[in-house]
Amino acid sequence: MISIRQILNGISIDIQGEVTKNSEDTMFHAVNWSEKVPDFIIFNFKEVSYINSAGISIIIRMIRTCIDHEVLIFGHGISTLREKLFKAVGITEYILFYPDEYSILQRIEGVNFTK
Amino acid sequence: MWKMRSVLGEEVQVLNRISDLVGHSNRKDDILISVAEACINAIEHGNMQEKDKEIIIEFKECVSKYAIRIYDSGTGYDTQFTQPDIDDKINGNSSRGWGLYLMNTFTDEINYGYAKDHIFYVELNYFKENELWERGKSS
Repeated sequence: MISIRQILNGISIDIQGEVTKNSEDTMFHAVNWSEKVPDFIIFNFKEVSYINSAGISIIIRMIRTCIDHEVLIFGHGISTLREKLFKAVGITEYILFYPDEYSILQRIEGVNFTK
Repeated sequence: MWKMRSVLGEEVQVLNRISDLVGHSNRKDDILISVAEACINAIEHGNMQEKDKEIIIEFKECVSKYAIRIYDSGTGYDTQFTQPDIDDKINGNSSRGWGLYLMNTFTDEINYGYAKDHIFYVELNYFKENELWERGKSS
């Protein structure tokens, strides 16, 4: 399950529960890529209870789509388990992780979006 | 010992039980990540997602290690893998194919074999040296 929040010219995708094969449709319909594309997406993993390899592949496809649309990707709320998992896969090379949303927004204020 | 059906998602209940047993260990994350993938392999490749086929999970803890065996009802599956490259996957190749890599990355030793009646199993071993060292350091 996910909730979407508009923040400035971007969005936050707050993910709750499990990220598995069953999350595919929900995750991909979170953003309407045919309408106005956000400047940035923040993935909030704080309420995630479980991610497996199929969930990892969904996140990778989300990253791919964000890169295709020149959308900056941030993340926060990862546990030590998730941090290990994301580092092993390489997701931390593509999603810029911060301790919390406030830190991300401070970082975003310094970005000059020129899409 | 626990049993589960060959249905994706049922592994979460097993992980919760294992989490209770290894909650004190600094190998907990490694165990949970890799056992999840071993269970998924058993469901998808061992039992081909035939939901009534049983999967059995055995947990053992001894002085030196944790050992977890996952038995499925299949005849075994291909355990060879190449390390996936996220750059390739971001650039258009299939984004899947992480299961065996994660299972191997977070496990110290993996054994595959057949129990009685030719039931296939994977055994995941996690040594405790690091954990003991960490405890000694903090005492």
